[in-house]
Amino acid sequence: MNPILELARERLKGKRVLAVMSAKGGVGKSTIASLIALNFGERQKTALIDLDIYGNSVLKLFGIQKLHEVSKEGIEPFRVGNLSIFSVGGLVGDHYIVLPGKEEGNVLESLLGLANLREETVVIDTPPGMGEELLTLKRVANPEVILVTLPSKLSVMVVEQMLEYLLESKLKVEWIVANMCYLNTPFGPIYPFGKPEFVEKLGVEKGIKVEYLPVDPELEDFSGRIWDYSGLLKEEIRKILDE
Amino acid sequence: MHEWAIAMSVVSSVEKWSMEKNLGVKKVFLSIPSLSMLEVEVLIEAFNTIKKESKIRDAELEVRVRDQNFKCRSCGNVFTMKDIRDQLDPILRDYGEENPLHIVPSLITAFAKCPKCGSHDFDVDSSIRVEGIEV
Repeated sequence: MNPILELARERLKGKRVLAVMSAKGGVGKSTIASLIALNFGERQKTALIDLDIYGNSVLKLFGIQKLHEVSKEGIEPFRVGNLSIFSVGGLVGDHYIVLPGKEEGNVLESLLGLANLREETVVIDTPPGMGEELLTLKRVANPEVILVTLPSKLSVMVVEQMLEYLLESKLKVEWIVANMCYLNTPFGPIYPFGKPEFVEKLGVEKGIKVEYLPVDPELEDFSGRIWDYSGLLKEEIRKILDE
Repeated sequence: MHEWAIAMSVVSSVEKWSMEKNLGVKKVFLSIPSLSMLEVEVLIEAFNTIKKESKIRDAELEVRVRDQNFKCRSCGNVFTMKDIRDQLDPILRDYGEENPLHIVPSLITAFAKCPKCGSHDFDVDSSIRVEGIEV
């Protein structure tokens, strides 16, 4: 019997768990997860859990350099407004993490089990790929998935394989997000990856709604203080959540 | 301090098991890795407090602290906590009582290396598990 796994299940039971995933790296998962959580956070208390144990991009986006406090209840979150943030990076600080595959699951279960999670809405940022994070999430909860891709053919092909697995595993894929689709200019939108026809086709084939997000060059200025950002990308994500 | 959270997880999972099986529980055998530096007395105190509000209020907790045997996946060397003590001391010094290994013992490979070949790639048995239940 694995009590930490049971505790993780217990903590997430009955909550709305949204997992932001992609088989492809560098598509903007952590930014999207953070902006989804910040949007939810404007209405209700929300948790943001960073399962990307090697990258910890969420902590970097929020400029958090402290260590988690630990209480009788477990790991206490970093609080930013209505958001409660948990990350393995908050246990090790700036030390690197290297783990044999089978230990990865134990680390993730421990974070999810020991996190003193009180919020009803939980947004989870995941690392790229289909490794232990995906399996651990499936063990502990039944998350709604937000699948992120770039509109490029390569990215869509990689993400399509993940989508096959997610659907076969009976996980609910809420939306496919085509990130960095267009850039607004005074002369009209520019499509850096061409018109997003591959992702549009994938959405139609699988019957899943595709949301198209812009590139906002201003966002870069908010790295380390993303809670201050209220620009185009956050607004577009808010519109999707309101639908 | 998170011994309380672990005790809560043990009470809750054993209680669930006891209700599913419809059996009373006399004793719970919990196995923890020495690496975790968990305080057994605090675990037992927490268990005895939390169980009062549960359906396993007569259960007693017995904790076994497992000594670690690590096996390097790179050179095959088998080593123990004693062999890497000098690598663990700085963690206690830098992070204090609530250090990463105390909270998540599986993180050991991030901090320690095989004393023979220097690889971080070694097998660990770091789980906290209920090994037996006496009914």
